[in-house]
Amino acid sequence: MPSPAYNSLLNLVSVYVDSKKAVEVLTRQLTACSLTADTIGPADIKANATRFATSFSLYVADSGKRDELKTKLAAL
Amino acid sequence: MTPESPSVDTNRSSVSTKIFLIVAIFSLPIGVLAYLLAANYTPQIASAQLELAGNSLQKPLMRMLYGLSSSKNILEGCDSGNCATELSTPATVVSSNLETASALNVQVGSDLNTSNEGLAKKNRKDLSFDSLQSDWKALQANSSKVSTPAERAELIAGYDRLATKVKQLVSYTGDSSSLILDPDLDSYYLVDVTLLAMPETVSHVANTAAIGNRIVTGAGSAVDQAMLSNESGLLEASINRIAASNGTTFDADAANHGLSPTLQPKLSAALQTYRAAVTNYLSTLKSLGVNPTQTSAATLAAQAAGVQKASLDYWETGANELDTLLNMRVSDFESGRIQALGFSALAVVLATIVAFLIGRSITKPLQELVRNLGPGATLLGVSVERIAEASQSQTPSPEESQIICEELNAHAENMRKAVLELARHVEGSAAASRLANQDAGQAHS
Repeated sequence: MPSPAYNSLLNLVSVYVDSKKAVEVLTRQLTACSLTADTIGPADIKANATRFATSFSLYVADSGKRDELKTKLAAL
Repeated sequence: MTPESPSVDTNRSSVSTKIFLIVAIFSLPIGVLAYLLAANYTPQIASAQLELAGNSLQKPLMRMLYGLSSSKNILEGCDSGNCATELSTPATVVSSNLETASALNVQVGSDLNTSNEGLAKKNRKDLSFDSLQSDWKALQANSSKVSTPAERAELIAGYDRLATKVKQLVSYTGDSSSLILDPDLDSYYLVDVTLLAMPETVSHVANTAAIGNRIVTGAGSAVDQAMLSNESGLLEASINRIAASNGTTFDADAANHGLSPTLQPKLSAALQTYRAAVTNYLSTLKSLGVNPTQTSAATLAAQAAGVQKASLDYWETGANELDTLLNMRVSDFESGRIQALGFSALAVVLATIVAFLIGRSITKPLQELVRNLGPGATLLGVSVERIAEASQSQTPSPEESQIICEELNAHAENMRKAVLELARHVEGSAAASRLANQDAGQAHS
């Protein structure tokens, strides 16, 4: 069962990226960080915030929205 | 409207809508065929129902005919001059059946053209129920006034005229209800008996009884002997024709809308009784030619009445069995119509389900491609932007470059899968395998 941290991260990025694509990208990034949806916690999000922000922002065309996503991810 | 308009409209439709339109176009002929099938059954059902209406009106008319024939026979054998008591029983039969027929005519008269207006249009106003009622009332009034042989002869002639009218109305109803053109072999030969043969038989029995009465009472002439021989021959021919028609009816029954369980048992039994009565009666009539005094007028009248009774019973059985055959035909046509519509609806439903499944198999890879193309375009745009920024940066981030490469690789892999899936659907598995091998070869080199 996905952890609350995973759900909050997914909910946040789904606002900017198509939800299916968001799951796909997140799964790929979690694998790269040796994490899973069940085990990821708030500390892991903070530690990998830049990676998540970089990867998700690649799918946001508007630069203003990209910055907004990066800010929100850093604050998560 | 420009010539391009229809193609523009079609091009704007989604693939699912286009597939639905194709199914709808192919379902259209099924719908038209179903309509034509149902429309083909409808007049046949209506025709059988009209025959049923005709047969229902014939029943009271034929009972009337038998009642009139009995009255005539009573009058022929009535020596006392006043026959009112003996005439009361058949008079009741005639009155009640005339009432029944008139009431029934209110319901079916417009369909059978037996209403006053319908008969007037066919120049047969003389056969209207009003006219029959009026004739019957006049006959009843005259029946109590018979005191001389001349008055009795006039009354008998009156009964004959009314019986002829009733017979003509029976025949007219047979025509207007299409009974005479019955399309099935079994019911056709039954109609031949109930509509054509039996009304004539009533006359033959009445005539033989009248002539025979004259012969046994000593009032007969050589002409009467010849007429009796002629009428007896016609009666014998009639019973043979009826038996032959019944045989054809029984043989053809199973092949025409199924076997009626009651037809053969009931009609055979009634025919046997009727035939026995006729054979016995014909034997008595033949003996009149040899020795007229051997048979009494009362015996002859009783035998004639017995034949008329057996004849009426047989006719009633035949008419009821005709109802059964016609109802079976209506049920058969109705179930055929329901089956035709049901199978057509099922075919349309099945075609829709198959079209939905095929449509989904076509749209699914397209949707997958669309799902990848949209974010993929953004990915490429943003990646180019980032790479351009990184090339101008003094301190490019290796992690960012790595993530961009990973995402581009993942996107390329997704695109490859989606294209292969699309190729499999568009050009078949062989083409998809060929494309996959080309991809693998390019990746290897």
